[in-house]
Amino acid sequence: MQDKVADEVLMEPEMIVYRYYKALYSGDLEFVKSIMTPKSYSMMLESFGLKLSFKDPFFKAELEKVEEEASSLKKVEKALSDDLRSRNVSPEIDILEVEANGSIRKTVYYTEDEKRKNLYFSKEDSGWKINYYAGRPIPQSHFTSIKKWFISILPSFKLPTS
Amino acid sequence: MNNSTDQSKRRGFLSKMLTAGAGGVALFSSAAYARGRKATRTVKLTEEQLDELYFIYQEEKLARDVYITLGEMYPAENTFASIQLSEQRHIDAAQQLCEKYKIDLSRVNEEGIGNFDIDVLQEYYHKLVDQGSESLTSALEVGVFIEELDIADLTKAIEEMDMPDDVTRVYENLREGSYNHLEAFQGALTRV
Repeated sequence: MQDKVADEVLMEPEMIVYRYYKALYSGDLEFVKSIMTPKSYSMMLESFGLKLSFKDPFFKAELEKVEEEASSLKKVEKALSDDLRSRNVSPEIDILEVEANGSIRKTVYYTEDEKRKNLYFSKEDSGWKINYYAGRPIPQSHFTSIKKWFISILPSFKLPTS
Repeated sequence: MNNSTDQSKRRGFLSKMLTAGAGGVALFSSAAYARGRKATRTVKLTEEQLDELYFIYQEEKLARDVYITLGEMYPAENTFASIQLSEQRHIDAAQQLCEKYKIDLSRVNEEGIGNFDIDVLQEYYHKLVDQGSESLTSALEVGVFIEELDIADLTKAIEEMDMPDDVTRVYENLREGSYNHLEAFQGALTRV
């Protein structure tokens, strides 16, 4: 268990994307929960539970209480986990690009079965987490802008080679 | 999303609006949504508050885009057409707030129907349209779902995010609009 936790703490966002899909469609919501911020995890439950909630009013009622009641969360996780496993889906994930957004946010661009997608990450105390709220472009500080400008003019300082 | 609590909160909000004598007109103008009732000083928001503003803006777009798509599927049902116009005003109001607080919106393609920068909203769009395509009743139920989602998220933003007065006022107006939309979809469901 210790090793598993240590491994997750060190995981980079692009690796988390692979693990996210693998865990999601094998119904391992405990792992999915460990790599998402709590708010994003709740939203993920709502999104993936949408079909079930339209079909089953009992599930819908439980889904609405997941943030307040631990027993509802458990019931929803169990039903959704079974549902996700039964979908028998194993999407092919290809990472295209990882883009930094400030110092503690990253966006991973990838394809899921050739569909272009992206996930936002924020660096929390326990490592990188999927965070749907982390997509807002962070303005660069003046220092970063000056540093970028300085780096861009560096070649002009090169000494002649001959 | 507890309906009876929400309805009573809404009645409280409405009576406050009527008492203040400033209600009706503000609900129909995006400028009024965004400005609130009086000019206020712009305060510095936390990163979390700015993220919320950015998210709510795009969540309003989700509602509009789903209604446009479902409205094309069910052209005889006027509810989608009338509410999508109102949703555009919601988007404008949320956008003006983002601009006021200098949030970079360059990654958001507002004109692109069904295009979202935020993965979970993209997923929602596809799933809701898919669900709504089953029948007109399903489509109207999707409308109810979206409005309940908006009301819940706006309520959280108002009550838990410690937003400044100008943001709270806009969000209260948006929530009031969502209650009206919810009633319209519920009414349309009874006629199907």
